[in-house]
Amino acid sequence: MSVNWSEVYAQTYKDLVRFLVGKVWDRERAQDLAQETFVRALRHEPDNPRAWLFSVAANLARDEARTAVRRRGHLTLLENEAEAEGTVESEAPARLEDAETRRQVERAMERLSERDREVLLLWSAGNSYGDIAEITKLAPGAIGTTLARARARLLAAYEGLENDVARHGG
Amino acid sequence: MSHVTEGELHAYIDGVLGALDEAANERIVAHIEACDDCRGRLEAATEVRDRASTLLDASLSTPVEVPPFEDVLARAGLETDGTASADARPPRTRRLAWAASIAVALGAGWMANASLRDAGSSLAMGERADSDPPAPRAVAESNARERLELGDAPESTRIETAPTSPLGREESTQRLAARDEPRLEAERETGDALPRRAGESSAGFRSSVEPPPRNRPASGVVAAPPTAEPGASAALQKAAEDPNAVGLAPEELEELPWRRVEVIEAAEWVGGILTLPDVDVEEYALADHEGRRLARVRQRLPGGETFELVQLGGPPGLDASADEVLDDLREAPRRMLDRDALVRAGAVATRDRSGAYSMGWIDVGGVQVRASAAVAPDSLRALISRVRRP
Repeated sequence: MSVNWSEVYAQTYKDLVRFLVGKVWDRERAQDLAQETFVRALRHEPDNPRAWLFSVAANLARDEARTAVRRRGHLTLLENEAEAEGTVESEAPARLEDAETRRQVERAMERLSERDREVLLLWSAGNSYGDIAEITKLAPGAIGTTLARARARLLAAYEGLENDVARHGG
Repeated sequence: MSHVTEGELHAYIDGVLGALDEAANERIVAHIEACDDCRGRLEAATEVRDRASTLLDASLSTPVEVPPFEDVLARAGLETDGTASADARPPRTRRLAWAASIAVALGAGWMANASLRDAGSSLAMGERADSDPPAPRAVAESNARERLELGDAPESTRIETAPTSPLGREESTQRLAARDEPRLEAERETGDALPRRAGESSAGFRSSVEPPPRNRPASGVVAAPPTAEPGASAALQKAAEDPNAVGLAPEELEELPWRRVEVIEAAEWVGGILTLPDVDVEEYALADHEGRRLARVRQRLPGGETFELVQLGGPPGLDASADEVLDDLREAPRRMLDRDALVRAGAVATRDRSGAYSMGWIDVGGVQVRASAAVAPDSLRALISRVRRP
């Protein structure tokens, strides 16, 4: 059956961007990669379009990561923007906190194995266990266990970083 | 009684266990209801899942507007009905087309200009600026050393212009007139490694440029003979001895009876026409000067200047294939820009729309064509970035 890519695009684009943000930590780049993923999809008729899209996106992000420098600066920029824009005092601390949280999560994710990161991001992007299994080539019955461990490791890494910050002030 | 595994717990929490294994789902539900330990572990697992979700939401949630699907189609070079767009062309195709253009243009130029010794041709640049004064007057005005960096070049390369000699143009030329050096001898003295024909070039695009000695001619420029008639145009004097030189000063070139033609006629006139690829051609023109055929091409550079090549027709010859021409082109050394030499060679400064004067010289050794591009640095950079294998 022919894939209606326009429909798949409407249903999947945001999830794909969310997944790619976690891969490249740059919203604009993530959107660009998402677009590129769909461009490549136009030439194919996969049985599982969603799983196929995430597989391709993961590959594109992996290629990107090999050459790109992680743009941590944009999180710093968000902080600076909050200060520069002179936002309402009560709002500014919240924005700074969000930016700091994002940075911490990014660092925590970097401490995970690629598999742990992958399953977390795929699950966070709304993929089913079946799709995650197809994309990661893991057995469907193993996804629960892999996710359980990945979540625990994410929390451990995040809390470890928070402890570092508390001890060293940065 | 076997307890529930962590994986099963998380799958249960995620609400997918039933989809994976209905029987396992029923077993686990029943077990959790009966097992305090597993109920405690379920609570802990739920907390882990929720905290992880919160962290990921905090970092991944971002307002995203979904661009229209037409953007994807456009990016893929497709029309909205899925057919290929007329404008779509893969980048590699464009590069290959450009390469073909170089091969054709330079191959034809090669054919027209068989060898250095055969004195096929040389190129001289005329200046062009819409509201500029005559170029030779402008040449003597600047003493600044200009350093041009070619960011687009495959290697970092600098092209420098030497400070303008305090001597005026005529004086510099007369100094040359006192030196009775044949062209080949002059080249040996300057140490310029000009290949004579395709395949002999051994220089690559060097990361540094060899400066010619001050006040000595750039490669290929011959000193005027000592017997030059007083008052005679220095360029014409030079032409008397240097069969490679066009032998006309820029203002003299301007005064020739140029006739605007189509590219085919221009190519036939001189045996092949040289142009910069991917640069708009404003005009092809032909002129006949004392029995010698001249073809002029004017192209508009990105910086706004007009790049003008005057090509001298010569005996046809096929000494190199297009591939060899391209190989030589890639290996052609960059030359130091010597303002004095450019003045003597008939190259002149041009002033771009910002009012800045600059000069440039490109020696495409082995292709038997020397082009002095009197353009602004940015334009020269763009020009040189094109003079390479894609």
